[in-house]
Amino acid sequence: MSELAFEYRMRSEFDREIFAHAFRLMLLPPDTERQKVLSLDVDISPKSWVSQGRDGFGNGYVYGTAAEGHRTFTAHIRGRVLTGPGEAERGAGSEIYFIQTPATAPGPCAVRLYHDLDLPRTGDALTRAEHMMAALRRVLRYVPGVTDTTSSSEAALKQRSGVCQDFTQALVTLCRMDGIPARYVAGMVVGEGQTHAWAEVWSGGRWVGLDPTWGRRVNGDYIKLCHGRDCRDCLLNRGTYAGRACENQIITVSVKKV
Amino acid sequence: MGAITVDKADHLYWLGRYSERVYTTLKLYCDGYDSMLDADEDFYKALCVMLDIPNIYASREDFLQRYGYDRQDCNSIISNLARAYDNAIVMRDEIGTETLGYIQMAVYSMDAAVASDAPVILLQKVVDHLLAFWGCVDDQIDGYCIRGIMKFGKRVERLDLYLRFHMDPHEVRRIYHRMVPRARESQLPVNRAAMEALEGYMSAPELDYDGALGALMGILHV
Amino acid sequence: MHDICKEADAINEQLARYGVKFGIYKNGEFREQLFPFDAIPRVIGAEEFEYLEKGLKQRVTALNCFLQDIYTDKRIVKDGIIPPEFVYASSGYLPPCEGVRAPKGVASHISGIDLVQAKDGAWYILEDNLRVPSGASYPLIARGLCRRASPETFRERKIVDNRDYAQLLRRTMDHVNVGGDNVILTPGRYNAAFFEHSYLAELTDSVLVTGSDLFVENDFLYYTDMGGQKCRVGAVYRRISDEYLDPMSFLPESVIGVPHIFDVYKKGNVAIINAPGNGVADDKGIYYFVPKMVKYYLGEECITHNAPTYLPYYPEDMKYVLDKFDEIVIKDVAEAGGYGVVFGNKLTKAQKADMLALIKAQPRRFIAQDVIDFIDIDIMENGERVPRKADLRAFVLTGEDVTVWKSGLTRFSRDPDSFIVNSSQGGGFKDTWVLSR
Repeated sequence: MSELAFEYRMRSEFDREIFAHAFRLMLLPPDTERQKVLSLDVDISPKSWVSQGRDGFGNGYVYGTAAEGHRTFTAHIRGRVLTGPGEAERGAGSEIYFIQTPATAPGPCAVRLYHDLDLPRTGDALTRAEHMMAALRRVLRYVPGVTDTTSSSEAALKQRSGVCQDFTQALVTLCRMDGIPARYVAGMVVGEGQTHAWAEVWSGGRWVGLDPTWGRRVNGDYIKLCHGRDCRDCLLNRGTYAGRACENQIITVSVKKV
Repeated sequence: MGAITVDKADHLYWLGRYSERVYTTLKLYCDGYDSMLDADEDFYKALCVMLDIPNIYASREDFLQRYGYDRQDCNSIISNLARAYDNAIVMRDEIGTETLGYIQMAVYSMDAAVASDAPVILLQKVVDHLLAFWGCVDDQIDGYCIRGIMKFGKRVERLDLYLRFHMDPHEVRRIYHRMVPRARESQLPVNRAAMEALEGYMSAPELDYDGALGALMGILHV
Repeated sequence: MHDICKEADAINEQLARYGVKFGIYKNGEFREQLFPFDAIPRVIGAEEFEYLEKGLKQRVTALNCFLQDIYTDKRIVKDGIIPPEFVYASSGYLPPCEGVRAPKGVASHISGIDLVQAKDGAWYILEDNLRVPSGASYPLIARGLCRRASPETFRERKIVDNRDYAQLLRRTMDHVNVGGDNVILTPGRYNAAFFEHSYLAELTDSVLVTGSDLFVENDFLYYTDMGGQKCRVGAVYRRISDEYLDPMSFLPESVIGVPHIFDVYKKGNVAIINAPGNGVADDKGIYYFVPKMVKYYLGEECITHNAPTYLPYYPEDMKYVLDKFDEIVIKDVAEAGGYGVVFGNKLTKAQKADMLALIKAQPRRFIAQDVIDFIDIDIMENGERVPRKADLRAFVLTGEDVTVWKSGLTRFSRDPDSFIVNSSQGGGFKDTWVLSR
């Protein structure tokens, strides 16, 4: 068990005044078998009102509007989370996670990769998924900036590169091809930098986290924020506004062991 | 029935203005057409000055064609009618299908005139439909404020044109006095200072056309 | 009896006057096009309509049960009636709707059910439209004109007056309104059905709005009037599709939606007509299962008939598709509006091979149907009666009770060789008379 202190800072600068700025931040870590939220503090500025909601996957979010004109928008979310009391989440293994989405649908590259896998004949879903993760890491290189949130796993496999989002979606693709329910998780990991993504596979009646970017099982260093079928289900922050402006957004994440 | 949004008020106001602009300029165009037949071939140049539009026309024929019927000429009558239509089509729910039908028919009649060998005689139908449109507004629209906004737009446009034409001061003042109560009925946020300035110009013994026009242009700028 | 067909031109002229048009984009340019009206009506006898009415009510009731179930308990999947992939792989299935119970149990308030009549007189359901079915306004406005054009016809024949559609619609909105104005949300005047949006707003006394007119504040939905006052909205009859409804919950790129409207809906502070997520029930793949839904939810035999449909997903159906390829029509479940429909016998050898390969690779993506030899309906063309393909869109409104509008939109294809009757592909429409005896 470890206690983690996290901080998520987002700062958006606009070159011209914007207004009617609607936002939705899916940055509220859930209480699960593997993590307990000890404290949570959300500070958004400016804001006219805020509220809380939950999406169809059960992920919590905070949303609201900054109606008046502004050129700077900041969200500061921090808290403490106890991780690792349990290894995995129980939850329900919904059939939704069997099914590929446009972002995870296998194309020729995924089919070839899956075909060339030398999967063990026996073994539980987790063993098979770990095997796939290892194979995947031999194909994909970590290269930032070559994909975006609309990229598919097939596109990443074709160019043989991507970031944590693409590693994760590719693993989800392979698992589903193998008949293993798998889901996309967005969250944070110990260190300084950005948010992170990994996969959860349904094995032995529980969801086990696998981080294909690092090639390891998810441990007490990980804080989960939300999960879904693919990256598009897990957009951590959404925003729309009126006014023609260019937005410069800086996000920094820090997670420390206490 | 719910209230009117700002955007809708805007459409109603401009529907009033553009349909009035088409109506008044059509009459001017037809009169001008007549005098350019034999009396004064270059009368269109004076018309451009009166209308305060750039004289981009090469000849009498060019003016009669393009100012009347060229959709690419943003000052043309047909363009102004298209703008009236654009503002009307989004207001069916407020002004009603019956009333909207007259703007639609004005558009059809204009198209028919453009396609014909003798357009000017057919333009009368456009005028007829516009008059019927205003008749229908009076007869069918119960919403005091909706009618008020449209008629305010109509009066503002007429006053605007008359000031540009340097129309006889009596005539200008008459139109002004018909506009004032409409401003109130429309419930639009009218700029008090501009309204007072306009009142000043209108009650002065000598009518300063340009000054009055300037004040008029500011009455909806809050 | 007076022949109403003689007045077709006069009626069309009036329809033009009232701007009964639909918008289309051709070569990147927006145009408004008249929707040609043919004066020969489709006539449905009282008894026949009674049968249709019963069947359609049952069908829509079952579909509403399905929609309620699929986003909550999923009994129909758990009980093995519908394979899960047909639900979750459907583009109309929207995960943000998971766990949301439609207020008062109504998800499909306005359902447009497309039917055709076969030569033997039997009616077949072509498809269910439970998202934003359009078209009721056309026969609605045409009826008034027909009555003016040919009064004797309406005096002599007992034709049920269909001009109550707006009242029915209004009642449907009022039933779920949670306090505030009714609004009709349109994508704007460049939408194909803008005439209908604005006309129905006029007739139902609703406020016609675009996404930018509406805003959310503290979990309530409002618009601002010209005096700057906030006006609360109690029900939104939205004519924009689910994906674009709310950039905060659906497509983040949408610029025509209303941010946070879906959260307000989930909190019960506004009604959305029809409910988001309905696309899962009018998917061409799910269509196959509707008779099973009727049995499952209502314990009744399905009164309406589906066109004989095959799912290549099931091996025995795949075999049928391969054997009878030249006699069937293949439909891509992801397409709508008459697109993605392929007649087996119209393909070249190479096209056929490609199509079969595609079906084998993605069996879930297609359905196959026997080609129904449906009744042609006469239309007038250049002064002559000529037969053309036509379908019927029936409108079923669900509020306090389920009501089938005693009329419908009959669309026909002007091309004698075409089976596709969508207005977007150049068809026209007719009035639909339901006789009272």
